[in-house]
Amino acid sequence: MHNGGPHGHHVDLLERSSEQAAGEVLGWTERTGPVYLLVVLVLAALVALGVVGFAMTAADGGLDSHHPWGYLAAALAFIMTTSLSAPLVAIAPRFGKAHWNRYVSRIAETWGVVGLLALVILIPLLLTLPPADDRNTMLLYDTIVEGWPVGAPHLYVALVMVFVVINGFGLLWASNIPDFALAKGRVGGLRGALYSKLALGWVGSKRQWRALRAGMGVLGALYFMFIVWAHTVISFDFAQSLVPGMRDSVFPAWQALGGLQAALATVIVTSFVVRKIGPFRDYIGVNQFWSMAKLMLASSLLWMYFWWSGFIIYWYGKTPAQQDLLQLMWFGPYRTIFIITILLCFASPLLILMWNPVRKSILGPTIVGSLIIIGHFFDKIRIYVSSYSVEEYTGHVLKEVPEAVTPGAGDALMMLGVVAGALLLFTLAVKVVPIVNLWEIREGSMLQVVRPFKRLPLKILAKPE
Amino acid sequence: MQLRPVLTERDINRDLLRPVLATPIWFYILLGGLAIGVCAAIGGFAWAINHGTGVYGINRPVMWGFLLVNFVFWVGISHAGVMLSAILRLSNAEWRRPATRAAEVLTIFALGTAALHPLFHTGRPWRIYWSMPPGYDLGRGIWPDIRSPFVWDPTAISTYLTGTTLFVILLLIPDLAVLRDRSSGLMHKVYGFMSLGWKGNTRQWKLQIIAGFLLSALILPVFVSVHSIVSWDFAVQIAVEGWNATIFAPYFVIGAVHSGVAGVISVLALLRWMFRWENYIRDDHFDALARLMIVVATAWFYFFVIEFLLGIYPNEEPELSLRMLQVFEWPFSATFIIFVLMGYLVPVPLWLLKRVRTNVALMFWTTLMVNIGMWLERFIIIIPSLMRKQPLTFNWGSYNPSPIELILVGGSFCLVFLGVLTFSKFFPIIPLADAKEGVALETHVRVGKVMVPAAYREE
Repeated sequence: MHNGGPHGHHVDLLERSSEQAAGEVLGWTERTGPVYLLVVLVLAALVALGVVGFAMTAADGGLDSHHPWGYLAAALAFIMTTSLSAPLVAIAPRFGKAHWNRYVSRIAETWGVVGLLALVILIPLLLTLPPADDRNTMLLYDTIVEGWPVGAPHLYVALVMVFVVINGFGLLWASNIPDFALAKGRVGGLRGALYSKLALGWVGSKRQWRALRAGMGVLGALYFMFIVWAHTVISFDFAQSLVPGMRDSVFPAWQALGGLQAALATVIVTSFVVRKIGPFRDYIGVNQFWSMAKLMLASSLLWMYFWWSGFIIYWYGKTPAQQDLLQLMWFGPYRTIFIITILLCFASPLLILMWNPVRKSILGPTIVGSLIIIGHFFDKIRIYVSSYSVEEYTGHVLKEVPEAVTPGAGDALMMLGVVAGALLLFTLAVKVVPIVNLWEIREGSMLQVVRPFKRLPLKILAKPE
Repeated sequence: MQLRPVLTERDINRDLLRPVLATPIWFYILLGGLAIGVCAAIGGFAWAINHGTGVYGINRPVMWGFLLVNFVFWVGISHAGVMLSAILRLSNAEWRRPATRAAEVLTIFALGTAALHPLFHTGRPWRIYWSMPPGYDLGRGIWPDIRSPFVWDPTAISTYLTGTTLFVILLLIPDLAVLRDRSSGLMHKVYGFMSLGWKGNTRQWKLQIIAGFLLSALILPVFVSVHSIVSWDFAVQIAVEGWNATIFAPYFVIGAVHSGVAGVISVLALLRWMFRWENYIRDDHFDALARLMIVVATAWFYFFVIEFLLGIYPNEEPELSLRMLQVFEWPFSATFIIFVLMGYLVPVPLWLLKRVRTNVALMFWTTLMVNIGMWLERFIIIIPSLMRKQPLTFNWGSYNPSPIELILVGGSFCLVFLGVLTFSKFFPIIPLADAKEGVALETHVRVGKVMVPAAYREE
């Protein structure tokens, strides 16, 4: 990093030639040492345990009812909130023409590969999800035309998730094309052939760049919309519509917003790890953590505001149905988990990140990011396990608040397996795609320069119109 | 080449102070027209005071009519000030510079006008003190229900109004000093008093910048709370179908930002035309604002869709009947279609095209369209729900606005624009200091053969 100027004034710019950067990044991508292999093996073993957990739960509760699968639904929601939402951290700043994101955008996009795992988990969940008959569903089943829409909710949930995954892979591939073209000449063998195929004859002509930018813009916008709708339908069909009388319209939006918050947390924590284990200290610096921490603080405040907006209406209404829902979701059997969630997802970001020196550090945002991820893990358990535990899911009013469902061995193994599966897919992906976006860094170095302003060297940010 | 016009401090002073130091004739004609509208509204209100609120179209069960629709609308418009000024200042967005003061001033006058509407609606303005803590009639054992959003409302609105006024005054100080040095007589004394001895030394600038940032951060929670509380005026009422929705607070806030930023764009287009400020309110400013509008409008539309779907998904007869009334029965069907088209479906696809985003006339008309749509949105939310109150209803009925209500609504528009126009006569509506800072920080970076606009950034 360029650390120039008098008065200790810090200017955060990468001092690497394109050649050097390509050598460092591609070299790390190619290398797979014994530690890496060990990590992969451990994660694979944990995934295998998850499969065992799945088999145990299937044998115990069967695939005939949705009730035993609350923890698996929570696991799906958790990886959607953290991993599948992570590409938003690459997409949104790109639309805002920001520069700080160039160094972490590939990390964010690479988390999109976890979509494969989400699709696998979705299969048993869809198979056991109750049919739309006698139950309220998102797309107004039977409300306007009897029996319409066909296949609700299974069909549209599956379609939305498939779109998210295809879109995520499309975005990851598109953003990699110039880097694949760069890498194909530097590596040989199977890897070189693969890069050559994926680069699609990229030569970097004006036309190709225009097409790439347009394509990435469209894919980014679509991903944003699909992931918000995925959060909406998953939170609706796998939670809200299983609880009679739950008419919480802010709930899907709250879950989508939680996705943005957890996405930032995921990218921050991943950036910290990547920075530690790879030669990326000069690439991912304080500026990246600071910028993401500011957004994470804002999204944490908004997360609490959305929750409060929903809560106050139920609390104020005080109808028996609303009080039962308050008991089920917040103040009854899952009260402890709810308090942990509030502490981790709201109180800790507020109390820690409100201090600029902490925000403008590497460790501070990483610690808060870790706490937020844990908070969302608990929050998904609270929401999905409680919803899956309601015996009588048809009707208009919750008749009885069920007891808390503690996880069995099968549930614990499944959750462990899902988290390990997400990490495994990411770990494998970082050895295929360069974890730092080389062309975006190169572009950034052209659009950011340091020049003296009066006597102080300052960074200049250029924004093409 | 992407070069922008080169402006000196002298140019900036001359151009931006022109409306203050030399007033064209059309200004007085416009001012007179708006003043007539305001006088008509004063007359209408006097008539209502004299004859009672029976002159309004409200009646059982629709006891909230056009005046409260208009109240929500103006509170919504007032959200532009903080959205643009505070958030964009905190995020260091360079393109905020010409828009901030217009947004803040619009906030002040919109909020002040909104605050008048409950007085119009109740028809007893001399009892306004009852809504403030010092006026609570505790001596007669009349305790206000402090848990009611109706009690929170005046507090939130007055806090927001105070905060925004402070914000405007604080950021106006360096400009007032410039005016002090260019005026004579009484105005010299007034500007001198208001500029608080500003000399522009390092310490004063430092304090001013810190205060600006602190106020930006402090005013944000107030900004969110104001429209949230307005939404809770509706949402906590379980007996009115369509209102008891948990999404109302964020839905109202994002809707307010949608209409507020649209209002600022309309005002900026007018300012550019009226004062020939092409070099200050540039096409790229409209481009950036339109990009922001696409995001805000899409978020708002998502909330609208979710609110609507969640309203009908439980398949309960009263709610379904309400939605059928809103969508399929005259005249609400027409207003619903116009609202959806104007609020989102027409303007947003147009803004996807760069040639629309950088066309001032098209931006003016599309943002005007948004605000017509957003006014109708509030109408659709309030009136049909009250027509079908459930389950404690004893009669259903309709609502027709009276001429007095129409005059008051029209007068409120005149009042807001009269306020903004009058402000622009006495104070620079584009901040001089901000414009000069923008010019000082503006530079270019050469990329290949192209010069790309850039700005110095201190981190």
